[in-house]
Amino acid sequence: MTEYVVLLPGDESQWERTSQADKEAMYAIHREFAQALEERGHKVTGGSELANSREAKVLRTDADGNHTITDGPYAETVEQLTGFYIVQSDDLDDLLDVCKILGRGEGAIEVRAAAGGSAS
Amino acid sequence: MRFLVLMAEEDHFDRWEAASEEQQQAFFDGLAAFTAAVRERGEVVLGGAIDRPERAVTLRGGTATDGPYAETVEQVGGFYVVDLPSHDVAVDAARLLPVPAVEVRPILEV
Repeated sequence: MTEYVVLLPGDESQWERTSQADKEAMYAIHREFAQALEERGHKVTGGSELANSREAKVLRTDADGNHTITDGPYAETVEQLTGFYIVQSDDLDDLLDVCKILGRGEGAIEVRAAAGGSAS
Repeated sequence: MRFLVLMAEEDHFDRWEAASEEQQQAFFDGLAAFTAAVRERGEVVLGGAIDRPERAVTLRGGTATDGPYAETVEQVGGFYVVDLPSHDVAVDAARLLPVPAVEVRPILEV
């Protein structure tokens, strides 16, 4: 089995404006995704929803070994990582197919192999 | 509390392949120092290196394209999930990681 990281980038400000009912609908999509993975022979070994990127801290180390710590994510992009899954799978095409379930709620889904494997 | 630790670097993958065995060993020593520091106060839940961003597949609206979701100069090459008493403790442990940029973000318990 190859291990894949499924990254869920999204527009966090939009999520913060989402009603509780719509958030529940999104969580239901995630439960359906998890169930489909299990039924189709993929194994979820980890995953989480992340706190808003404003709560991130970034530690930078320069060539001389000096550290600086700043608030916020490392990349100032509109889409920020909002959650992730770690999935073991023998069938990337089918994994991508199951990820389309998430696509009903998530704008973009990046699937990348853990080092040593290949996602293409 | 659990935290996601993202290790990001410019040209990480090319640098890694060009690195000498000694440089690669020094990198692994740094990772080992980090995990040892985490285990003194908590737990390493998960960790791994990920493949080159150009080998990622991104789905948007059901359409699959090659490449990562964000075309940033720095790309994530590896990550950890750690369980530690506080954000400050997690950032402090991250000082031991041998990469130029580390993002430490709380994980939501849902």
